[in-house]
Amino acid sequence: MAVQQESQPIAAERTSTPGIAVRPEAAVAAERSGSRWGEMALNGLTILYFLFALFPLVWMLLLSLKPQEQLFTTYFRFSPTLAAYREVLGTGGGGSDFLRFFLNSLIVAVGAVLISLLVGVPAAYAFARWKFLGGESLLFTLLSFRFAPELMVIIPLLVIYRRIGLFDTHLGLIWVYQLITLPLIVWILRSYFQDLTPELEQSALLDGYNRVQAFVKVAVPLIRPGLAAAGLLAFIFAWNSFVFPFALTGSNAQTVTVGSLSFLGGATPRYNLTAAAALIALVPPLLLALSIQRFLVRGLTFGAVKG
Amino acid sequence: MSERNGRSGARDLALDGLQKVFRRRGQGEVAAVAGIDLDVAEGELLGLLGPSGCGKSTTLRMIAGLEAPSGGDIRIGGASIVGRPPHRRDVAVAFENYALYPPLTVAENIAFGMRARKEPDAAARAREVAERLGIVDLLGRKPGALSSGQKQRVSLARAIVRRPSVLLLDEPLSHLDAAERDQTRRELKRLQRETGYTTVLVTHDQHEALSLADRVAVMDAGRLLQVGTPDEVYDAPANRFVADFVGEPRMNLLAGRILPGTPTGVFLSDQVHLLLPGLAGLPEHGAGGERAVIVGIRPQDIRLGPAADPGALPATVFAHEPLQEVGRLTLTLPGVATRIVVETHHDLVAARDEAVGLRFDPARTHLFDAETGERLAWSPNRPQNPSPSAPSRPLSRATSSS
Repeated sequence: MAVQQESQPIAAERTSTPGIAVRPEAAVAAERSGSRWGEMALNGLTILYFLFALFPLVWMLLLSLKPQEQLFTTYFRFSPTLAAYREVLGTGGGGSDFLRFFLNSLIVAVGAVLISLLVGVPAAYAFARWKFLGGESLLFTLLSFRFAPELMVIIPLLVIYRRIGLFDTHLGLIWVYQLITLPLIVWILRSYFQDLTPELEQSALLDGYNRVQAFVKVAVPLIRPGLAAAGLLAFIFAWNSFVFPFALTGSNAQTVTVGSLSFLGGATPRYNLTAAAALIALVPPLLLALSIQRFLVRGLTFGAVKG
Repeated sequence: MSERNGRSGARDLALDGLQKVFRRRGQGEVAAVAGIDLDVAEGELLGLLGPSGCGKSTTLRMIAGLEAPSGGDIRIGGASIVGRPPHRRDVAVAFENYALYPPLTVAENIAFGMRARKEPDAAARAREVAERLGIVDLLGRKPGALSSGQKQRVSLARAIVRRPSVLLLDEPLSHLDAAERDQTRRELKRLQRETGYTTVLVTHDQHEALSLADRVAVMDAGRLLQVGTPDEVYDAPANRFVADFVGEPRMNLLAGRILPGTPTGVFLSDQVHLLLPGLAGLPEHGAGGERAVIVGIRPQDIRLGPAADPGALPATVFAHEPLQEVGRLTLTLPGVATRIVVETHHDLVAARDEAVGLRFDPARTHLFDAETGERLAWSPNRPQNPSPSAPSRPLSRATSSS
């Protein structure tokens, strides 16, 4: 057991070699057995699933490029136009609330993740390192925020928010988003901290660091991959949240998810606008994922596959 | 604080009634360390030996300041260090898992503590220590690229670069393979002799403790059972636990009775009477009545002879394991439930159920009280208290016959 603990950070070092992606075990096994047929079948299945999973996105892309008249055709012939994007972004001179929604989403999601990290990293460390009275039930309570349906609490929350003036504010959304982001970050990072041998921090204590320094300068840098993975996941969940902003915002703090809906409200549903808006809204999580991809492959596998 | 030869300002360490009580829900209080008194002289290497869970690591952690004692005192150079934070105790630890920082190079790892304390010429001192330990060529590498033995040496370098008053080694050899272990053990011994650090070595491996330590402290269930030189612990185990724990293969421990009519020997069964001249001198033996004892004989201290030998105990061969360097024979004594193990010459050949005769050296036969497990101060040829420097360890290597 001790050996496993010790080998974890090394595993992290090794997998950091760029270019070595994680391959499915089955693929490796098939290769070893030398079975070309097995390999081909596996590749075929992978491609099949790839198409299946990607189709809605492709359909959305096509939809966003269609002119209004051809919206409801189901064949793949149409005259592509960027009109939908122009209208969504307001670059056609009509003006648009979409950019404001987009900015709101950014502010709220980034703010929620930052606050969750600020609170969640020390909390995860404490949960991992010390047994304290009520620790386990506190952890479970945090988790229960994730499996309690949001709709259950939304009405009382709305009443409270209206009364204390948090309705339709960024702060209000950031606060309620903690229900989404904090449990995720605490639970993921706790397992990362548990994988670190406490001897590393103890060694730092002997070397002259105090507890806070041992935490900040020794433990936290070693779980950076976990930090990236947990942060990204939390961001995606916060970014995609619909129910909370739908109920708790008016026009001021409205987010992209709710804002995109407005294109469906008119006499004719304008699916092309909705599709364009959704695709644009896809950009920030995608960029974020790409920028921390180096950590992410390590992070997602490393944390999940533990001793 | 002379800095010649990398010598530290080594100082003595004293544990005084040291206690650690853990409170666990549902279990009440568990005394991991139940009052330990121990003195480690300046420059001495003390081996703290015991099975896992005996409290030896907790003791080490209390000395290091990673765990607060529930009672008692820890003094270095006469001054109590209880309550001081770890880095103000002048104690260094080489951890079992080495605890090297993966993102830092070996050089940075060694210099880490000095950098943390903002001490000057950290790099130069790190290099100096690396030279002493023969790891200069590793300085630029990351811990992930090192073997266990190399990691152990880096961990050791990081500990001694501080020139601590007391050096604590936690299971330093346990993760090394056999070859590395032998080599590292020799180097550790030489290093400790040269540098003269007051050292506490925590281990569950008796070879490690007996071969490295000036004195060995055997621990079980939070208590110190015996403190003495390796020879003392091996030749005169203070109780049944130490007798059983120290020595390889394990000491034969046989239940026996001393009967009032024949106080010159121990009955191992109705048929087997082990003659021990001088046994009558056993104190508190005159009480009359039967007395239950445990007879302890090391497998190396039994001589094998022909079955016809009138002065030998008759036994039959149960199993023979040729282990190349030595042979190991398991024998059955008539009427005795516990089988007895004898180490033999490597070329001895024994068939199953073969009858042999066993001769014991009374001077190498230990007696323990069956109830308390304490050693019975009994010695036929030697003074009442066995002298610590008894040079007689392999007095009677088993010799082959037949």
